Amino acid sequence: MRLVSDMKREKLLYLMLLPGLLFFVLFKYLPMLGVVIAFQDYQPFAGILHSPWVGLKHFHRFFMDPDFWMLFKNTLLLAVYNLLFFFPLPIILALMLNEVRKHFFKRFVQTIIYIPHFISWVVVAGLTYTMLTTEGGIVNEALASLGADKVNFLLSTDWFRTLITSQAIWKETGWGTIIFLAALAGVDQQLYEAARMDGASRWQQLWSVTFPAIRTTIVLLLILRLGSFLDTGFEQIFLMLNSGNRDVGEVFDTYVYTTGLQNAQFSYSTAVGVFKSVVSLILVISANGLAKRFGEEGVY
Amino acid sequence: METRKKRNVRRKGMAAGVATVLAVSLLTACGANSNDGGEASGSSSSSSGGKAAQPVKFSAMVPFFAAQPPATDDSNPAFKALEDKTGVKLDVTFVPGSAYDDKVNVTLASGNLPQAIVVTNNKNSSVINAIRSGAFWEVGPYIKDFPNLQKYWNDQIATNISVDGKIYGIYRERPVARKGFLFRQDWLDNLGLQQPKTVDDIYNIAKAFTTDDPDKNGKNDTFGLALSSDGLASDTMIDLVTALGSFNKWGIQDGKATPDFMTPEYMEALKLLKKMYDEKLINQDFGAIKGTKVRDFINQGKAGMVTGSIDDANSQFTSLYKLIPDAKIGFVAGLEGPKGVKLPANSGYYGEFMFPKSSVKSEADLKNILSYFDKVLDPEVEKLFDFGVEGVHSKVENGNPVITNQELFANQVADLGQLRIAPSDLTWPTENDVMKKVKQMYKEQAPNAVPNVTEPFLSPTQAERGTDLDTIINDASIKFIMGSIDEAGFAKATEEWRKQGGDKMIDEFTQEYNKAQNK
Amino acid sequence: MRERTLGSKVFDTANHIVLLIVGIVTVLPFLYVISGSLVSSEELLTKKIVLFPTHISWDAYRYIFATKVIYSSLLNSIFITVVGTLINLLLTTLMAYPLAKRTLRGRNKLMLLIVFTMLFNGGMIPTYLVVKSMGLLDTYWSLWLPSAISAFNLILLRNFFQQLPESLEESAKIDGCNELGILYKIVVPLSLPAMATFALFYAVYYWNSYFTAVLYINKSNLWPIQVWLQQIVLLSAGGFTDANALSEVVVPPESIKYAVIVVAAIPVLLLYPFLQKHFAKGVLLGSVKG
Repeated sequence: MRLVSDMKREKLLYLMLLPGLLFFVLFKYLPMLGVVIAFQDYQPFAGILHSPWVGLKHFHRFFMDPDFWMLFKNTLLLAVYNLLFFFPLPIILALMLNEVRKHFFKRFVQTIIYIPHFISWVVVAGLTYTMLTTEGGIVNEALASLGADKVNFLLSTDWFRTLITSQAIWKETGWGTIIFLAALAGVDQQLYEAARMDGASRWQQLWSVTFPAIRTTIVLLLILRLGSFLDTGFEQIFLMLNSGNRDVGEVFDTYVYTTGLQNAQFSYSTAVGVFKSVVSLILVISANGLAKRFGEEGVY
Repeated sequence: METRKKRNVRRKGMAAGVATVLAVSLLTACGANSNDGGEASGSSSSSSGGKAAQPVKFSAMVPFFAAQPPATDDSNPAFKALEDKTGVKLDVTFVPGSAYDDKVNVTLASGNLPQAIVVTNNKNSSVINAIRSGAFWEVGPYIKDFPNLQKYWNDQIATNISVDGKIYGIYRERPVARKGFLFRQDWLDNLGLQQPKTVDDIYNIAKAFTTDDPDKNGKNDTFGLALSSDGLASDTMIDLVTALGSFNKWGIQDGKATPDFMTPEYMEALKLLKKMYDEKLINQDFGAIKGTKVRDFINQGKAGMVTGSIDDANSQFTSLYKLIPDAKIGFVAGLEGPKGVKLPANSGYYGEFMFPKSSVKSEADLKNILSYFDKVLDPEVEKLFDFGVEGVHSKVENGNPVITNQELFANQVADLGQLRIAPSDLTWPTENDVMKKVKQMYKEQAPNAVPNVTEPFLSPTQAERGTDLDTIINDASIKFIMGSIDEAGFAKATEEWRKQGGDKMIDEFTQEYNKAQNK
Repeated sequence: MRERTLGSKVFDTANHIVLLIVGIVTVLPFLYVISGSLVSSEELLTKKIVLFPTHISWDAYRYIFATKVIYSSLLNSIFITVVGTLINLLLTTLMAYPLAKRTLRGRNKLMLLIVFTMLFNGGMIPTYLVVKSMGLLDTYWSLWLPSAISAFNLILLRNFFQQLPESLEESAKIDGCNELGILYKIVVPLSLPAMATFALFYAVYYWNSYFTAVLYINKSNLWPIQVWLQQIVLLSAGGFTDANALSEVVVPPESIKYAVIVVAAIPVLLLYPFLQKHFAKGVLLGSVKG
């Protein structure tokens, strides 16, 4: 009974939800039925109805692949690198920008740091090659002129993760600040006034006013990041991958591309995708639970 | 209030209805026996043989590679001429080359197929499966009914596109003898050297290009052979291995299908490249270079040799000529070895036109469409593809056509070539010397081209993990050349290849080969 | 101005210097891209890094704009981006608002279901079949509807809405506003920084997307500019390395790759300053409260 009366009171709210729900049902959940092909030998022409069911065959093949653990380790390490070294940077940068009082300078920096986001990975990879190659790359030329040995950055297993993470930092940090700057823009100026009245220093203001204002956004983004934890960015890695660094560079995404998609093995690719999704689901649920235990709101 | 609620409920009901319909259509999206899928965007050519007056209409899907596809309406005189000369109304969908394979797959899945479709990945499992479920017309038996097609037909290439011994499409022919070495002819001349004829020549020239200052600038700033990580497998290695007398990827040894890297010649070629790498005759970073970037070394005037298609000489080195106006590029296809002059053969085609049964409903319709492909082989139509419309794209000079408006030609005519099946190997007296020589070499070297014997065969293992397996060998080859593994290490990689599916592939190919031999 | 302590001054100076360095590091490669688009390919080939071209050549841009379709496809792109962004903002806002209500029943379950769509997806073929069976092929709806709401943006926007003080809405309710009115008159104006952010995210998404256009739209006169730009980049990067492909394909010089980036990035870069003014601090919040 109470439900009915609640519904009545909130019917406008539900009505507002309706278009969005329709969207999720039609364009997300309906196609999601397609994941059943992970349990089939799906052929586009035959369609789902006429493709044979093969149970866990593709999962079996994936987990039994001699490279499975290498792929898992490589993906995980790159993801951890990304989380440790990339994730905090947009936050720090946004906080720094927020402290700038000169409007012109602030806008200027803000506008230029997000440009790299628009430079495609193909070009980033090309630039990386131009700078780091042993055949006249400027970094190696500099090393040579200092009398040091040339370093084969591009073909080395030692440098691969550093390279990938640095590229990501260069390209996406500025872009990543935007969401935090928006959150910071909502901070009530009176709170700063009050803090200053209490004699709070800049650092104290930062910790007691600014940071709390973006804390929930940070937590949210962290949880969502875990939702795509094993997505390592296919294009970037694929472009940097070569026979020298494959032992540390081959990840799930590149593997799916070369073994699955290039050969039109939709079922196998989907099975690998399902595995990644399940891992993400576990991570998101855990992170959300953890966030709630610490008094955060979480995603759901 | 009340009505609003009702409406709300009704809308929800409708949504659910739509969802169900969609779910059903998703599940039954097409299937071999769906009849309704055929209505490709153009009208079908259901008007069959009897009424000859009516032009045949059909829809086609093809990739394009230029910056933009040619217009397919009356605004494009070349397209109009094509329709007039072939007596066909064409409804063409041009798809960017980069997304073409994806587009073919979704089109296959949707069941909404055009009446003629170019399939470039004709050996991948989704296409094979569609063929085996009866999705496409078998065209093999019809070829003899069309005089031009019959003349065009090459049994070797036809075998290469066959599936289970039957022909399901019309291949788009490409030169078989096309791979070779391209080099700085002016450097050879400076050093008083001859064009390479043997594998040893390759080494000697590379050495001279590196150490003897071929550009005469007094600086030690050149090297012999530009190499890339993917070009190693697709060109350089098979060029050398076939010249040394072994297989082009796969051959038959003691009645069994055998990959080239299990033959001693492969190791011989690897050792040669390693020696060249150690002596710095090869760019030291080749493992990190993919695709056409390797040609930059030539264009920069740093490297003297590269492997590739000999016709690259015509189109890929324009920057070099601007930078060094005296530069000249020479080329050879095929090197002399223990078994005579040999070079690796290409498959001989780039994609094939296939004709779905769901959209080409009757035999008469199929014949109508095939007659288009018969007509595009007419010299008149060939000339149209090569030179566009006289007075618009080209003019006649001393009885020979010459292109007058390059830009218009590129926009309106160039990619119409996707709708033809023969390569432009007609030689015109007005063509430049490089292309004349290239085309002559295509013809001369064709008998020396070593085919990959597994080209016509299907191996489920190759379809499933072929790319993975290739990577094992390619990585090991690169590491061997760079010195991070030795011969034992390479043997270990071979062992790995066999364990991970190579042995199965050998068995499957051997079986297919025996089947084909017993026929 | 209030007097500033020495510590505060040191803090500011250090902050400025670091930001300046960050700015230079990000902008230098872009300068390289711009210069790369303005020099001849020969100069690009011989010199490793060109930051200030000695001899400016507009050939690359001439090549791009010689492709006639570029102009009409630019209009297509603008249309797709503007309408798409509006649709997305509308639908996302409409959905985020109720979900921000802590009292809404079933809210968490819905949120979980939405998060779920971020983790699992059916892939290219099932989505294509849905789009096709709804009759959206060859229309711009096929670009807009399947990506009308990004779950990621929805969750973040809901978070912004959630942080607005509830007292504001209560007072509006007393004034006789219904939920739609509150959303339109109070919540949206108070969330302008967030709205500007998501407008930017959506606009950039639409501006950059080309694969869906190629997949869902057969008529090349409807394609957005990115299709052509991608085609040109792939040509110059040697994307078609199939040795069997037609050799007549002319590979555009290296500098075109860079010109394409400039052409593709500039419209979005122009958009930013307009949105940026909404990031100004503490927009209306103080005044409304006061």
